[in-house]
Amino acid sequence: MKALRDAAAVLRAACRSFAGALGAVIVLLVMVAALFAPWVATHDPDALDILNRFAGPSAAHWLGTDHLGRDLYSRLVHGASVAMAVALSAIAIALVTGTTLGLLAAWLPPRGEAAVLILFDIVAAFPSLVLALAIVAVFGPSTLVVVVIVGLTLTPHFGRVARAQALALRSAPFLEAERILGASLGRILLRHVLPNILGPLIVLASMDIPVVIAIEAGLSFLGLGVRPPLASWGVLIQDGYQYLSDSWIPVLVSAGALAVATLGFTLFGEALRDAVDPRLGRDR
Amino acid sequence: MGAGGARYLAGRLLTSLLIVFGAMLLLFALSALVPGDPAATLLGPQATPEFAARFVREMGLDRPLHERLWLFLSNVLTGNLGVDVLSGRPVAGLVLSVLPSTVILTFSAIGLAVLAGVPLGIFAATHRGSVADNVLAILSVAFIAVPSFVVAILLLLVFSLWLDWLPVLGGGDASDPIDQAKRLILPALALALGWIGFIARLVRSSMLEVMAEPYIRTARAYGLPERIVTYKYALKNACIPTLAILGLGIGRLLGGAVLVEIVFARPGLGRLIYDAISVRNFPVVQGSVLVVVVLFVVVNLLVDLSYAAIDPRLRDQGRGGAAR
Amino acid sequence: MTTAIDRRRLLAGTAAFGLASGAGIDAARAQSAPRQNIAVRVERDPEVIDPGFRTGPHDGNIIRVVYQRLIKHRANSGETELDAAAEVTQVSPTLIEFRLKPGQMFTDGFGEMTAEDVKFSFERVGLEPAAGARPSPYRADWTGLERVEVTGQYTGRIVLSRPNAGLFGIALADVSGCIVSKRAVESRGVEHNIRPVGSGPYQLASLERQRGAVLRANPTYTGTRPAFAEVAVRFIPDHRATELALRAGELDFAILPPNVAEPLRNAQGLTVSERPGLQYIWLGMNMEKPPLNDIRVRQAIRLGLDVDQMLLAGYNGRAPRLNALIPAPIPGHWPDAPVYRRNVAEARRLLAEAGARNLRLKLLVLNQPAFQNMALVARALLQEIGVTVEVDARDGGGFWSAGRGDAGRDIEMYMTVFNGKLDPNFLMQWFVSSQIGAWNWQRFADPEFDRLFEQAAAELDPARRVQLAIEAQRLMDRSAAFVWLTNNVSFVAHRSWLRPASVPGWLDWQYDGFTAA
Repeated sequence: MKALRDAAAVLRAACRSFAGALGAVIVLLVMVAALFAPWVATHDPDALDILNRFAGPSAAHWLGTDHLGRDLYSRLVHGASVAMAVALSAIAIALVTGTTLGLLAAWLPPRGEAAVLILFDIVAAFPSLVLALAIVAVFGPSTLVVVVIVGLTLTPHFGRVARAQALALRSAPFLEAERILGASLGRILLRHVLPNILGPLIVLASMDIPVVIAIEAGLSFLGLGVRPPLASWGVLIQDGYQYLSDSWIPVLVSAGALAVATLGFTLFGEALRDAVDPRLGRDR
Repeated sequence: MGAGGARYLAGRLLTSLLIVFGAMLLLFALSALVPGDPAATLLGPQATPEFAARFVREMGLDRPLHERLWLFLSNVLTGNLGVDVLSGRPVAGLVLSVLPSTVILTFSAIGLAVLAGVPLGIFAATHRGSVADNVLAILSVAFIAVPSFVVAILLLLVFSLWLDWLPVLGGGDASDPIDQAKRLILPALALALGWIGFIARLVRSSMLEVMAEPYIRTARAYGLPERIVTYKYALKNACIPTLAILGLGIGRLLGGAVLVEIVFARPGLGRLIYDAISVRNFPVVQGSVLVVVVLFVVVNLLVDLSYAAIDPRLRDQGRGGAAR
Repeated sequence: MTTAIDRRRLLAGTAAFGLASGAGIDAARAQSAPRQNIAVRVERDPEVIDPGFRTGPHDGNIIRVVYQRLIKHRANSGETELDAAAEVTQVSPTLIEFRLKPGQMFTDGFGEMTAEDVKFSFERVGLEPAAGARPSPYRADWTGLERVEVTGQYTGRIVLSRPNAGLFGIALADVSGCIVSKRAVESRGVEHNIRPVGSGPYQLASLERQRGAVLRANPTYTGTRPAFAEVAVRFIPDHRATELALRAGELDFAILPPNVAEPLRNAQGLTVSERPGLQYIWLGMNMEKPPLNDIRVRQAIRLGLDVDQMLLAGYNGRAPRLNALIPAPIPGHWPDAPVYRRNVAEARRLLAEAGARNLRLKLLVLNQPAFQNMALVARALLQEIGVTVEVDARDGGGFWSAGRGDAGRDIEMYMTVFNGKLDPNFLMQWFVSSQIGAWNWQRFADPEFDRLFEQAAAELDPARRVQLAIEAQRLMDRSAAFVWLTNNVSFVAHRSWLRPASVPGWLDWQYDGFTAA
């Protein structure tokens, strides 16, 4: 109950600034579109109507149709679900692996800690797009592959923050007391350390959502991301770009949606961070 | 720098070497896993089975794994990045021929980002709370949030097509620096935009933080002109985090350069890697990714070292420098 | 046949005529040529300028102007004329004699072209290489070559082990028949790939990775001087970027897909024309893999698809429909091939008869817009006959190796594109049973087809050969493993003052035939 009340307070604080409120509104819109896509959309996003391609905006098709006669508005709405699904699952992977490795690093002897940190450095030094290209070449393009790639590339990010937060906690008196009382390491980490560092990590996660959305769009733009017929914003931009001379609406609308969504998530994530801990993850 | 400095230096060098080594292992693992062969990919049905087998032999793909790993590592150690299976020429020469164009793009983008981002950040910090500060704040976020390939497409459309101001594509005539410079503007801008917003925000927040420090207040109390306080003390200290970010930025820009190079049809390392992976030209992939990783590590090492030189306290915090 | 040359005897007279008419064009051009140099766009990075080891048609187009051949195609024509040879005579179905023109010099001081160079050039592509040397992937172009004999400084004989009707068009007049300098290849080694030595109308002035090539007129070339002193061959992989460059005046010539090219029709100073292609694009089904091993299932899918709708999605409806393997410009075209119209009821009936219910099939395609769009339409169409299609779009590396060896057994349906030449056997060669596990991804095995293929390869009577090719296509049609889609369409976009040149089909461009209007 207290946690909920805390969260509500943080949210209220985050929305106090204009930027935070703007971000929150955009995030809410994207979330609604993503969660209730089948109801918010007016058409089946994959239904082809090849004879009615490049139709302009009308009462039937609010934003017109694309090069295969699919309803653009419905595809944009479903694109939000794809973006959110990819972003949330990729971040979940990064959060879990990163936190585990980060906690491990904080409690391991110096040599083990150095090994984990170097692992983080290797992943960070390896150009992520190259990693993505290679992994896609092995497994073929699919949504799952995108999720795993993005999750892996973000792991060091969470790992470092988790480690830093845990290090600060390690010598905290209440943990010292637990240890003297004979609590196992697992219990200490799960029951006491994790809950205390989770807040900052979740804020970090919210700030990484736009990053993931952008990476997914980039990969899909290169034809290496989610598979057709799935409507991802990157796929929509690529399709629109290919048929730019037939109609400029698709590329403008989908690039706009992507830009607005990433902007909204960034604004909201930052307001959230400022409300929780202004110094957190500032240097990225 | 005393003994502590030397130990710090040695430690950083060792980590850098380990990172490069780890990246090499990763690279090797990837090329061992990826299916497909360049003969079939490039020649389609014209690739005869004998020819495909020949490619496989030349890339050493028919040998046992440990032998291939050893060959790859020992070749790299002697400076041999392998041979491009298609043209039969050394990969090193190939990488060197396209590297300048990516390096120029990356550094112009970073330069642009600093030139535009630092003044904007200072302005915002010195006009804290004003309308301009608020507008800049949202604008900076917008710059950061919009992916560079979207910016690239929009720039291409607006400036080259609708306004017809700038030549659009490719790297330009190699013998004509002005032509090359013109063709650099849009890609560099597309790549830099996000970092402009980023640096502006960073400079702003670092400066505000520094200006609240006691010694700045002391300086003011002694009646130092506000301009000197701002530029001499506050800005100097605000540069430190900016520097660290630049190291990361250069590394990340190389990744971002791939998409921008593709949209603007520019030659470069990003494109080379993208094309080489899509045709499964493994020696080229390995050689050029290795160069990218080494570049990234070296730049970060330099940044870390200069960071430590500016602020010796950081050495004691271990690897604080490039930590994200 | 379109290539209606007199195979028995090609004499220097044609070349003399060529020279005379060339001089006339020269004079006319001096008044109107707006430029001495042009820039053309290629989709792939030129890499290997050596005839035996080219990496595709984009390399081949450069190679055909850097080197000479015994005979070559006339500008914008499927007919051939003499090039380096003063005379080529087919003495018997398995013996061809040639005599070179004297005084044809290789660049970079590698001396005069001799019959020894011809022997070296043909045998390094067409024969098993010496131990340790790379085999050429284009050996099939020289099928039947036994040896080349040198009978004098300028004369020699090409000896075949069996007749090969395609030899003139596929080998002698094309890239695999280009004549290299033996001394230059041996002394330069792999460097020859990027610093080639030829005797053709152009010299390679520069070749830069990721940028392209620059061709400069070869001052020592003995034939008709090309119209442009310099041709910049620029590598631009993206179609959209190419369109912008054409509009911006940075390019003079490019071939584009319909959706990108059509709006260029309205651009000032640009001309866009549609030319039927020589590629062949189809949807294939693996005849070994259940449930596709049941012919009724394959027939149902063929009837469930609507080729015209697929072409509308893939090529803006501008690409001509193909109804059998061999497109119209190529000898062996089957004009009466059945044209399948969509028939949902019949397709459902066939599936029910085969006892196939709730089918789920994978459709493998390249991750290029045209293929992905066609695949999505196919998916929607087949949904209506009760077949669920999963589209598997892969990049080139993943796609082109999917049907090799045993991996090919798991393919279900796929869509692909192959490049054609003006020879029926060149197109048919990938569907014989020995190609299973290589390029015959349908795993179409018909001994009668194999026999017709062999027979057509050796048949020197054009009319008889056409009959054999049509008979072979009838067998392919009966298998129901192929749904022919299109032979593609090339939208040739260029400055209005430029007259580009190509062998029909617009795959094999003729840079030396480009002129100013």
